[in-house]
Amino acid sequence: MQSSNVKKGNAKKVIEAFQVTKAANEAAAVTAEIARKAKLNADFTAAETKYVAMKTLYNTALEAYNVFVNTPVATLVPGSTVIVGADWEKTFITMEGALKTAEANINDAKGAWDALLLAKQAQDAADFEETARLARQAADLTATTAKDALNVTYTAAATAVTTTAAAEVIAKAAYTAASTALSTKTSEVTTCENKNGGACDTLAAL
Amino acid sequence: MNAAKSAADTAKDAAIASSAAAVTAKTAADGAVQAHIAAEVTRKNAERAAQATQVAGLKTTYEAAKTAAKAARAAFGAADSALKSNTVAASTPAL
Repeated sequence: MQSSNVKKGNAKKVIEAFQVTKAANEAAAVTAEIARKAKLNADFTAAETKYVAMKTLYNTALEAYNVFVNTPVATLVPGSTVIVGADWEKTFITMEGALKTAEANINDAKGAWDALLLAKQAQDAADFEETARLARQAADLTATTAKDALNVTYTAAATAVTTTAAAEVIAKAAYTAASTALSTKTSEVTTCENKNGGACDTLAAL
Repeated sequence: MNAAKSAADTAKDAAIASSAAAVTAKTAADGAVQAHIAAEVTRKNAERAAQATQVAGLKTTYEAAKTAAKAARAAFGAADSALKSNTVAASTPAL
């Protein structure tokens, strides 16, 4: 008996420890999920910022490149800022390279941004679905609670019908019996008043 | 002669006295009967009054029971209608 109680006590401790661990794991999972979403949002924002910056750099490089290549060589005169000859070729190559690099950078940034945008959209959709599911769940719970309450009311009302009907029958029987007894007693009094003593119970025994 | 008359008178007086005593006794007996009847009537009336009070109480109880039963039937009807008109169904599995 004592051994059985010890076993029960140990089992209870194991269950309690399991429940504590389970609750801690669930809390950790919630925290991790919140952190994951925060990181996703931060990464998306960073990627977007980077993409915008890359676009700006690309546009700046493109503008400089266009200005450079569209400037007539004839206007290149000594003292001007425009480069001529080998320097022009060298500058052109440099600018073209810078433009290509900027283009590559912008493509990379856009790729990263697109990937994160998809992930964020998926997350938003999941969040929306989860919110809708929770709303449906709450509505269902409310409906179930209301139906349970109706069932309780129905059962109580049915019981009350049975109980009060029985009480009515009992009360009616008691009232009827008492009324009959009263009629009998009234008749006795009348008979006793109208006739001589022989009609009265006590006199009959004399 | 005188002795015979005296005996007759004595017998007559005795008869008269006996008759008077009988009347007195009958009157007393009648009075006792009437008094007893009156007492019986009083006692039975008291019993009847007590019964009438009891009947009045039972009638009140009966009326209250009838009213309660009627109210319970009405409440049941309302509960039944409410339950039948409740068409909300769970759209997701319960937790």
